[in-house]
Amino acid sequence: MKIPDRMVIVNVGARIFYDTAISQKADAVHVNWRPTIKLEKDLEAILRRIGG
Amino acid sequence: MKSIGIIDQIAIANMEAVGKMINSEPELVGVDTAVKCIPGFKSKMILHAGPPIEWQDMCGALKGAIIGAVLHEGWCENTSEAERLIESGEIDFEPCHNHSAVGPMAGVISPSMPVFVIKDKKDNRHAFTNFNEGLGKALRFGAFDREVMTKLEWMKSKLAPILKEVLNTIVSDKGGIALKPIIAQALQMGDECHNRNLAGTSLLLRELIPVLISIVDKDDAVECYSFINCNNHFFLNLVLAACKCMADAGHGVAYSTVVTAIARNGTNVGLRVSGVGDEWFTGPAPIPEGLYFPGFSKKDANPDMGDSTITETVGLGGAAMAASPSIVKFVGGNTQDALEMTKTYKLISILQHRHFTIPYMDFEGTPIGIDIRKVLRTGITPRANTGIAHKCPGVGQIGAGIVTLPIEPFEKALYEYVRKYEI
Amino acid sequence: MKKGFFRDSVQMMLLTQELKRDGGLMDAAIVMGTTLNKDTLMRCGLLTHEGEKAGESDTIISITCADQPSLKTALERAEALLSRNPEQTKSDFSNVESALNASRGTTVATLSIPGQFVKEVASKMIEKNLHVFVFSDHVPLKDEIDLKVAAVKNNLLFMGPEAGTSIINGTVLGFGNLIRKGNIGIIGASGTGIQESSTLLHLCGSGISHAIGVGGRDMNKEVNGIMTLQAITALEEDQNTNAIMVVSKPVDSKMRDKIVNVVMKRSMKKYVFCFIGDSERLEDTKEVRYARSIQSSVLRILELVDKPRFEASRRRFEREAKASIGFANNLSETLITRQNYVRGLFAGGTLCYESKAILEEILGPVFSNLSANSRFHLQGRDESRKNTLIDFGEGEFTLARPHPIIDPSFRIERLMQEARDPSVGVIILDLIAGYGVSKDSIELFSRAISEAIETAGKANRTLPIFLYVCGTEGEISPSDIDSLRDSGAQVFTSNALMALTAGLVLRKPHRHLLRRLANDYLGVDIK
Repeated sequence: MKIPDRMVIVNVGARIFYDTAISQKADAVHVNWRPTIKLEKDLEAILRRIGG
Repeated sequence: MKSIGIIDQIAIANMEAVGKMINSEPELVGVDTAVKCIPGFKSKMILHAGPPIEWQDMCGALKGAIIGAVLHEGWCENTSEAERLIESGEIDFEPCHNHSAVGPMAGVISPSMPVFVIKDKKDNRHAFTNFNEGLGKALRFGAFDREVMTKLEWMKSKLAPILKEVLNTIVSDKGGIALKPIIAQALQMGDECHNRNLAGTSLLLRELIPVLISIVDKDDAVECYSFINCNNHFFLNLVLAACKCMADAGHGVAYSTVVTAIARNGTNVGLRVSGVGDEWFTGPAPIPEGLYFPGFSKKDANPDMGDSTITETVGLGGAAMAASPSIVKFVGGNTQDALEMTKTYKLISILQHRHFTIPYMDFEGTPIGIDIRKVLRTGITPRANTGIAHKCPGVGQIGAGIVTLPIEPFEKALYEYVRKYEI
Repeated sequence: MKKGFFRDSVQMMLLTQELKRDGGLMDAAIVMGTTLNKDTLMRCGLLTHEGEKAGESDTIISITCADQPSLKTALERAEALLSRNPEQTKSDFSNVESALNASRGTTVATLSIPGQFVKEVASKMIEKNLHVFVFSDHVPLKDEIDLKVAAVKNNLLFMGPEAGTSIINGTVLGFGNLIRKGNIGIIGASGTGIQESSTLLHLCGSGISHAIGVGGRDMNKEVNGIMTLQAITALEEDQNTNAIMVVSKPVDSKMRDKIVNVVMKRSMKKYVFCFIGDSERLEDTKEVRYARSIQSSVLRILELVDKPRFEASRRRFEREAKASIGFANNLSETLITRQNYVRGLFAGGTLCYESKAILEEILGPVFSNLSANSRFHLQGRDESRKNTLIDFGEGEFTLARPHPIIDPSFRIERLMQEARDPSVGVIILDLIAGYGVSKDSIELFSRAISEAIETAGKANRTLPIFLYVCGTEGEISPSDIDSLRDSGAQVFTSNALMALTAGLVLRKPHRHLLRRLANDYLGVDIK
């Protein structure tokens, strides 16, 4: 397997690692991640019906 | 005829509801006595902030405010009499919201209290709100000692007539004081218009003072001006009433899933949805996370209280936090946190406001139109910057912080929505 | 040419830059069709007949390539860049989907989210063909296995979980240091293991091609070394790598044999396996050398690929070792009878582990939150007992607090506590520098060390405090070192030397043992 030449980074989680990437002039973006919600089954079904 | 699916129907309804909110034009048009101008206000009725609640379920601060109101009305001589009267069931307690009114914290309005009258130029809708008493001990925090009662008297007998005169002059001059331009400007000056109103209050003074000094006796003018000037939150109540107008403009659009009221009474949080009628959907009111004044801590705090989350409902307050980094600092945050708060509102809102914009975000409009579907899909509920009251009546404000609304009311609203529309 | 298409000039310049960076073309310009711009294009030889006809509200994309296929690719790329909406030229996203859809040619994802969510997010990354670096701990073992299997299937690296550091093509992921580029590849089952190896190599004048973190559990029976083997494959195929160093705590002998067999069968390159503090003494083979500490493995690998630097470094380490031994002797005279014990406060788990292995050879069993033996196991927050070494990066701490590399306050608090204990003869700490470390670290530690020494001094005790400073000259300046020395600390350039010297302050081992320890852990012969 080939080790990537270009380091184009997406950072998910703690911002400090995004800052590290940027301070090295790497191409990076940051995702302010939040856990996905496990909804009650019926709420999930309703949302799917009405476009939530 | 081609029929459209429910999802499109909801999209159209939501655009209509939020469009109406955005285009509403509330104006301050006068001062009057509560029982005379507020629709449905009976002689032995007291209005309060938040969704409906019985006396026995009320929190300490709200009870204190109500006792103070009873004494202010002269229905009783002392606290124990007041409690007996209340427990006898003679007094009706109703949400301000149910009577086109709003008030911060306890939000207590009693029949003889002076209120501001706001009118929506677009559709003649009205909204009402009480006068802000100022910092320190206040009825809205449940205090009702001699100092508070004296000030309430003064507001009724001195301040109200002065402001009434001033506003009558302004109304005959130019129809009223347009509140939206003031709010829009205040946003550009660092207010988010819920917990920071310094700019708004200053701008309001600029509207009032020319008339104040020309038609009112000098001493009275100084007294009135000083009172407003000492209170950086004087404009808050007017913002709330303006927001109430805007929110009500978007209420009652069939199929809309947009929130048209969020309010707390110190025990419960309640919300209303445009397409689901006037029913309140409730959940327990949380205690804000924040910084406390010296000597106080979380264990002293009262659960969240007040109609002031009507601001978050129409693209102000938490939704506009990016415009006001300074108050985030006050609760231990930084500029990035302020920006993040507005960005999270974007995730749960339909549109961006056309008139309320944030310089720091390239003058992007604030997120407006909280969609209950998006709240439930993302699990993100609205958050607000708010004052924290002591749980015991009479003590007052003990800190400030960020409150995160519970998800329960949104779930209840959705269930009712599908029941009503048989989806 | 795109008629009636507008972007502001700064955006155009940024897009042009990005287009050029992608490579495959000789020159490029994206500009609005104003007279001024057209003049500029003409001077650069980038104006065609079509471009000349462009109006002020049109956009000209002008590209020079070596051949048609490259031109086609470049034009497609330019179109893609231009039609990106403003959201996508931003650097902050609220969810993973929108970040991945922003078509930037992403190659690597770095994750530091709660462990139970890693599988959900990392699976998506692997599906999109991204290499993944996972800093998170508390990732369920089963998730780790599933993810690594998926990664290998897609020919990808899955670095972690709990990977503190990786350095790919000179770019640091997670924590890490500024390391010279060279021909040595490192595969590490630990972050600080990679940090010390790479900084020591740099210090010796050498450098690294890549450092790949594979997570602390990779060589467990369940995970079966899957990512270690993947990393070996990758470094075997990497033309910049001549020698490979594998750093890990000791592993099950079956696992070790499996990996070594793979290496022996296919390798064209030189290998050093560093099983830190391994009680088993392993026989070198033609293909594979073994070492029991990071310093000694650095020397061993230099010996294989860079004889001159090996010689210079060996001599230097020898000098340092002898100096330290003398120094330890003198220090031990200054201690009073009660001061019998060593206390170690570590941010790096591997460094703690290495120090523990060395100290146990000199002092006997050591209490630690890393001890497998329940008799000598301590919780990190418990009070120290006799000889105690604590890893502050262990899971019990990181649930509630930031990692000790980021936030030194907890360790500093503990340092003060230990300074008040009259039975303490020497305190050892690792000070990690580089990316992710707060700028105040040096100052905070200097102050704390002065205070600690003063506290002991008031009770008429000298308190030797030893620091292993992990960093290169780009991150730790001479004045930083001075500041630490001025505070009273003794500064070491390797963890093993620090630990060995600390042991010698408390006990004087027999000459033969000392010689063996120096050989095993420092890689030097002190006769």
